[in-house]
Amino acid sequence: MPSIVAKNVSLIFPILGSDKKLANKIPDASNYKRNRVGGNINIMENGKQFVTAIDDVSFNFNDGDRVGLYGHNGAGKSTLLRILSGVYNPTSGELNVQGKITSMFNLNLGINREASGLENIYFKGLIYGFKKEKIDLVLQGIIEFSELDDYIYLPVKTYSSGMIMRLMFAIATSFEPDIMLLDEWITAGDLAFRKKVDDRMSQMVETTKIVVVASHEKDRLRDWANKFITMKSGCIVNIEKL
Amino acid sequence: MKILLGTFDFRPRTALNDLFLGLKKWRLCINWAKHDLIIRYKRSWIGIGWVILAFSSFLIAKILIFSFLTEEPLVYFSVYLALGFLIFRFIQSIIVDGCNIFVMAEGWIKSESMPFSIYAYRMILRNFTVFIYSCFPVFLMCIYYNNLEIISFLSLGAALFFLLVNATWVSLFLGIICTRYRDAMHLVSTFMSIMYFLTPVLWVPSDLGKIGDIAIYNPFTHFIAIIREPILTGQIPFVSWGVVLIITLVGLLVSLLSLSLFRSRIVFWI
Repeated sequence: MPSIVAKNVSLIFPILGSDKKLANKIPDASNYKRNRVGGNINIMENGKQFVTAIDDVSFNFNDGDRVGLYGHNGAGKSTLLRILSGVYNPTSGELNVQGKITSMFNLNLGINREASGLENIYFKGLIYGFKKEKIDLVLQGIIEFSELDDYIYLPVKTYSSGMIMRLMFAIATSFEPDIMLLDEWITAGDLAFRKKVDDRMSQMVETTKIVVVASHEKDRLRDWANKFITMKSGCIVNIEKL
Repeated sequence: MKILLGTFDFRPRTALNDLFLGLKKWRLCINWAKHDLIIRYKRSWIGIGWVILAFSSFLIAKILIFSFLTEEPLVYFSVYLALGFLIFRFIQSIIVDGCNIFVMAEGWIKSESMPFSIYAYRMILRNFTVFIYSCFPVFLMCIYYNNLEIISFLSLGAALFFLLVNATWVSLFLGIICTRYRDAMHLVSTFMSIMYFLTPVLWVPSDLGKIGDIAIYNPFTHFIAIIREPILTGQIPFVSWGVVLIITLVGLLVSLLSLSLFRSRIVFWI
């Protein structure tokens, strides 16, 4: 059964290639939560710099959870999603994720711009561990949902950002994952497509056990989610059941 | 606020798993390597045929010039140079490209959780394909030289296998080091240009007398010898095989060790 269990998870980034004399510019860096965006900046005595992107968070996600991650820019939403997907390993704490994951983080990452839309569908399918025959089965559905028609044969670099979003959203939702992670899926796309995205998101709950969406569109997120998490400076401020 | 960065996790099982999970995704690796080559030769009319053309013309130019500097017979020296150049080029491309495997895949590493070995396998398959294409003119020369016995084919298979295993550890190891320390990749490519002249590819050690003897301390000499000697002389170079086996073992260990220590930190360094 798919589940995500996080216990006191923290993520502390090293900052490489930044100003060596940073300590002189922000002598007060150790003052906790003085910044309005981002996590805490730590400067060690030897000059090494770190950012606490995720600060001691704990939660349980289970079958049927539609989790909305809400917070300002730099609150740690995207970083937390990446931890759940396995891109980042927590620097401390325990994380246990059970289930097949698909994700959609950034329109510019995780896509082959030189390859056609069609090739990208196969490519993503291979990444998720499917064979060609299985990918063939979901192919038509992806092309149909994304409404890309003949453009599916052209290189992705010829697409507009809205078209890339359509393709990536269709791919992320079509491989029947147990867990789906979406970062800011709502913002791109025209009105008609937004409606389609909303419908698909409601449908996803039947096949996908856990869906986690990060966004700063509070109202839309609250309409959809049944678990609402508010984040600030890398910490979870509040977990609500809706 | 606790900062636990002084302590590194040590996870040998995760590292070993990474290597095998990457192999399990061989379809993805092949597809990716193929795609890389298609991009490289995009809109070119001759396409990957350029590999054969470029390699053959290099070879002809080198044989024309360097055959004057050796006392060996022309046909022998031509095959000697062709084989040496072929293998050294392959090793060089693996080592130089190996430095970049993670840096070049930044977007993928930050968006999909995949075994890190996939980036190594992808790069090795790409360069191995180029190697196979470059074999074509060398193969013709070997047929003309007419000294191909069963034993040389058998040892050729084993030697290629060991080349690929070494390619895996060297690219993972250099990939990690060069992602953290960006000077390393420049150092490595400079080092490899120097090694090209210090490795017996363009020259035969016996021609150089005592200076030529230094070649046995160069590991690349032995990696070339395990393929070149059986084809040229029909003999298996046991000393070279010994050196290659030791380097393979030590290299695999060092590379697994660095993957065990730093696997989870690579993403922070790109």
